[in-house]
Amino acid sequence: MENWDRFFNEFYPAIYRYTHSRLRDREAAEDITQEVFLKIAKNYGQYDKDRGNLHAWVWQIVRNAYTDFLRSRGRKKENTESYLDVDLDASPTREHNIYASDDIERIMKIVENFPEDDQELFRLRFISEFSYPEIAEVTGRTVNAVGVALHRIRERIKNAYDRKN
Amino acid sequence: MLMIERIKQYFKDLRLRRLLRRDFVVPKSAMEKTRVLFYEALQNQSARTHTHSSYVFWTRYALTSLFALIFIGGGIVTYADRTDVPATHPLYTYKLLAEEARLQSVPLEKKIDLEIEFAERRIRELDALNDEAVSTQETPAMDTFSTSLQAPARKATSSEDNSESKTNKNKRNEKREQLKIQVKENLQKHLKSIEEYEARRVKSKKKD
Repeated sequence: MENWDRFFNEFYPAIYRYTHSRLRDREAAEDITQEVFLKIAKNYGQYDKDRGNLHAWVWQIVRNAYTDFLRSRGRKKENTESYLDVDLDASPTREHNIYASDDIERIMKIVENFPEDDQELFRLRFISEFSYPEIAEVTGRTVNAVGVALHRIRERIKNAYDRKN
Repeated sequence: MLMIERIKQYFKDLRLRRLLRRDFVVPKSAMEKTRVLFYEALQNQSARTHTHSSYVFWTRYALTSLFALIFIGGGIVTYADRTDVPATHPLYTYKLLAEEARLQSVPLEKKIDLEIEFAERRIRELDALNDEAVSTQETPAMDTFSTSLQAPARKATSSEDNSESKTNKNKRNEKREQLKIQVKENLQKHLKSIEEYEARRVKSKKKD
């Protein structure tokens, strides 16, 4: 891997957002992401370029780091902040931001009731912003299976959202 | 129709991703801090890998050189032994080494045969050295005869050449004499060994 800058810029946001969405703890997400990158630096010699599957390799490290973090804290999950704890400056208008945050709060609550695999797919696609082939690499499914599963997730979110409204 | 649905879906996904991106904002300071640590770790790791790979390289290099040396050395020794090189040959020492190795690797019965074979070799070597000495002793007379026939203009230079060739010949003669002594000593050793082995063989036969 020669282009480490590109690698870092692509994976840092994806890993940070993923861990943040799972833990809802910014500091913990920062720590885990940092830990993941240090592990990548230490173990990149073990990554087999010819076999490919970079996303799967990185995501295995992410999962391990996440599990280690939970184990070190001695708990399964802890929500220290609300989904409404957002960066107000990131949005052009306050009205739009409030609307967006409200929307996200609802969607995330709906997603949390999904099975673990579906939550994972949702996070990979909408939070880490992976493409279908990348998700297929990480989850070990085919691209078509990923497409079908995500379509179902969308439908379920839409139905649940409409029901709540 | 399906295409339009897909495009609509794409834009819905895009909107949702944008909303989520606002919710899970990546902290720039933490990102830059991690970037620095990541590059430091990469550098340390690459330095460690480099040291390891250079160690592997030199070990391989040394082992290959060692095997090559053993292979070539073995070839030279075998060649010297098989072709029975004369005492004046540069590989003569290797021939003696090969003989020693062969002696160490055979049982008592065969040692006597080998010692006899080697003693015969020493005798042949001595003969060769003596023959060489006789032939070179004749050459000075031939040289003087040929030089006396040459033109007086070349007299000065030829006298210098003669003095040089004389010293060279003297050196060669000295060396040959030394070799003769060495070969004779070796021959004595072989004869002594033959006697010893023979005595041991007789003893062991008596015991039986």
